[in-house]
Amino acid sequence: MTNLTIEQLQPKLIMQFAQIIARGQMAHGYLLAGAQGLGKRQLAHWIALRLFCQQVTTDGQPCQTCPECQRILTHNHPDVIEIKPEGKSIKIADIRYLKQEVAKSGMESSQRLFIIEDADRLTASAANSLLKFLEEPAQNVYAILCTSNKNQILPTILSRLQVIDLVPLVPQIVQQQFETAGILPQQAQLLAHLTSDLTVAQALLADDWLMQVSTKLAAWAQKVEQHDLEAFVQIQTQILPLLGSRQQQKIFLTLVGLWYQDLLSCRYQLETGLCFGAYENQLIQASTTLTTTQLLMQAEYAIQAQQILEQNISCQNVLESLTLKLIA
Amino acid sequence: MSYQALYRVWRPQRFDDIIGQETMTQTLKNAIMTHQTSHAYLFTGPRGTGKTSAAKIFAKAINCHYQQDGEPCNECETCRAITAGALNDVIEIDAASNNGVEEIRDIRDKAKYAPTQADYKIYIIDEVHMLSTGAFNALLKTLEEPPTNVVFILATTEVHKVPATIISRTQRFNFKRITAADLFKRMAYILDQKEMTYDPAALKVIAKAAEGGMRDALSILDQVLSFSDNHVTLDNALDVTGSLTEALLADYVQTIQDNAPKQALQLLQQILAEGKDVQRFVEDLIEYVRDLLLYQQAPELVAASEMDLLDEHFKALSAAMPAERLYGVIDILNETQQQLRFTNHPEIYLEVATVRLTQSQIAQVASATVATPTADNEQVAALSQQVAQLQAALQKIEVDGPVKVPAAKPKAKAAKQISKKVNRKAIYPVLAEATRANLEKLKEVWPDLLNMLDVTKRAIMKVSEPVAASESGVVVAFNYAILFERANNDQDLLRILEDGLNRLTGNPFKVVLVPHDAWPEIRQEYLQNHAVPVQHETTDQATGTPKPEQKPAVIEQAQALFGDAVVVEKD
Ligand SMILES: [Zn+2]
Ligand SMILES: [Zn+2]
Repeated sequence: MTNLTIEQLQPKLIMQFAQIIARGQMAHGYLLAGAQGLGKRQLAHWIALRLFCQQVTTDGQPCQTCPECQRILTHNHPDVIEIKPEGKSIKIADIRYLKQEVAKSGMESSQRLFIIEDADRLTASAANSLLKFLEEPAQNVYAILCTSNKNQILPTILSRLQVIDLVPLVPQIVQQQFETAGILPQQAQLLAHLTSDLTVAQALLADDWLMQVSTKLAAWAQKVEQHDLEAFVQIQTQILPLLGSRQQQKIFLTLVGLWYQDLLSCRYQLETGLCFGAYENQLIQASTTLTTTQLLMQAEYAIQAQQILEQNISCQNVLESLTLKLIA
Repeated sequence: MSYQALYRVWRPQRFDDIIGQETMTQTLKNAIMTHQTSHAYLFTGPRGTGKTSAAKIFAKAINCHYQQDGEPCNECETCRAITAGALNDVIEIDAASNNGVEEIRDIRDKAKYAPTQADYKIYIIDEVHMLSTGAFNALLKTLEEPPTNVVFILATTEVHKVPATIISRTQRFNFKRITAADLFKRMAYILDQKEMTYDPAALKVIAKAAEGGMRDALSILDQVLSFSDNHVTLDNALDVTGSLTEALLADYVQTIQDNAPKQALQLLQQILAEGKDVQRFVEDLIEYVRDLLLYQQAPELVAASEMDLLDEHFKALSAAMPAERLYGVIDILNETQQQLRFTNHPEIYLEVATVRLTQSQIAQVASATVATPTADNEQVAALSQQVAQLQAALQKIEVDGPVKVPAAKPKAKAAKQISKKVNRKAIYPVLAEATRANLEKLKEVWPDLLNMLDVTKRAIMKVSEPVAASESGVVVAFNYAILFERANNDQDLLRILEDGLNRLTGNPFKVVLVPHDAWPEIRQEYLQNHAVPVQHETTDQATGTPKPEQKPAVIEQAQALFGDAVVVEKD
């Protein structure tokens, strides 16, 4: 796999943390926040390596080879405690375990680090139990929490941590990464707007799914543009068969959103590349036949549909009613 | 020795160190000076506003033998032991992790014993809203019969979760959000003490991002410091908070003022490419526009809250943009902010909002009227505009709840046009015999009827619903005018529907279609022409005595017929 390294993903943060650790200014708790694929876990591990490494290189990087580094890389370091949700949530029992582990201080060294992945999945009681712990941390105990849903972290936890927002990758860079990994340019272009995670991207390409869905989407959009009720019928006959899972349904609506993003790009002749480059002519054509008001209204409908789907309404209903609104 | 966070190093040790809560700290000092302390306090307010600090200072001041003007000396053994958290008589409990009945009973039992080292035993219960119901009850018992020389201080960020019975037993203090100017001053003071330099604009960015919490402010400052070499720069502050420079915000608002969607979108893409936090961007923008608005009315207020760091572009925008436009901008941004909470793909939301923002009212109207570029498109455009109006009307009905039927206003022109195509001659006989029971029955078989149709026909019919029914006829309303027209012209469809109903109910059925938006009007017409007096509550036939002014009868009759609340407005 040719995923980007953390040094490529977050060069600035790596540099900043190298400085912080060199100056002995590690805070007792950090929250690493950002979408999937931005390197939260890798950054947490890099910090662990850097904290414990015995032979830090001259440019401030962990050596990755000394015994300490080796044990962290193999997840066998007794002073680096990792917690992640078993099942749906991180429960109070997990936090008790964590507190016990941290209390056995100085097992191997004078410092300890714990990493909590998906911290937004702490149950309310687990999160609250963590509070006091973060409030009065023991000497040389560091906490790193990771999340892709910062909004769902308790405010009281947030305020006890230093929040680091991981910089989203610009689609162009992600696209390059995907292309280097052997994905065709046009597919890479669209994928870069859906995810920055190569694994996720490859899963979307499996069985030609993304390409099939795009084709159907474009055909459906064509009918919508012509105010042809056939578009309505296509939802059930052409599109839904491809949307087996909730995840796929969400992605489809994201794609519809991206379609409208492209329409806006065409209308205002923005220089950034289109997501659906293969359908450039269709997009340009469509963007000229709609008034601004119509284009905005349609885009709003597409956005609303995403939210309606979140309310557990059946995908068929959402898409059919969207189609009707767009045709009208 | 690991790095000590600023907010812990600079935790207030005297009431006077607590920023922005002067009334409360003064009251507490007075109570201590005059020995009129209460046995239970409730400190409420947002996080980081000084609740726990005030509780600990109170614990010291009430026990300190050298207190002066209500302030602890912070030098004596008692004061130092409390600061270090080493005095047995000052007990801090985190309700979040000790929320059970047992813990509180334990407190209740131990509270009976006199303090051992100090004069007063102080229980500080943080996050008190997290206590279980049982624990609250146990606590209530203690508060009802307070032991002597014991003070309870309850602190919470969520007072609405604390039972009223507890609240009424305490003296309550509401801690306020700290103003940006106060946060600014405190940070400047700390940095001066640490002999570090700073760019004032950087502190302003941090003060605004902290949203009224001292702890948040110091925590952000910490992070900025860890990235800087003893000098707090604006770049680092913007970096850590994810804020935008005021210059960039001004440029963006300028594109709105200029009605320049292309430039606005380009700027937006530049902002997103820099990896700015989208939520933060919208928040900053809202605040910026609010300030523009406020500056029009109370310039001195803005000048103060902005620590006198206002640039010329800000002043120019504030002078140039009408207040209504600014209100409109805030509305759209608020809406966008709500939407953003539910997505991982914010770009489209922001792009749509950006284009909307750059459409002034006039521009919007203009673009709507230039909607028909070619002859081919003309009909489609007219139709879609018509439907859009119908939908807007429909949406309004949904939002407003009980249907208010405006007596044929000119604006419902499109609806009227379509409503002319409705066959009233066919509808009235159905309504004359309609009952709720029939409608209910029909609704039951409706899904079965739809299942008899092929995909295309079912698709069309899915947006329809029966709205009135007799033994032998049904009125079916369509949500979308375009579908109504299509279905109404489809004789094949009507025949299949009637056959289907015949098979399902055993009765011959007449199916009449109406567009949903025309339905209230048709219904109203019928009711006013065929209204009956009140006593005929279970009307299933029309008597033909027209009494249009007798509203209640009309409403009740409507309910009997259609089973919903209808408010009929007089002309
Ligand atoms: Zn190493
Ligand atoms: Zn003292």
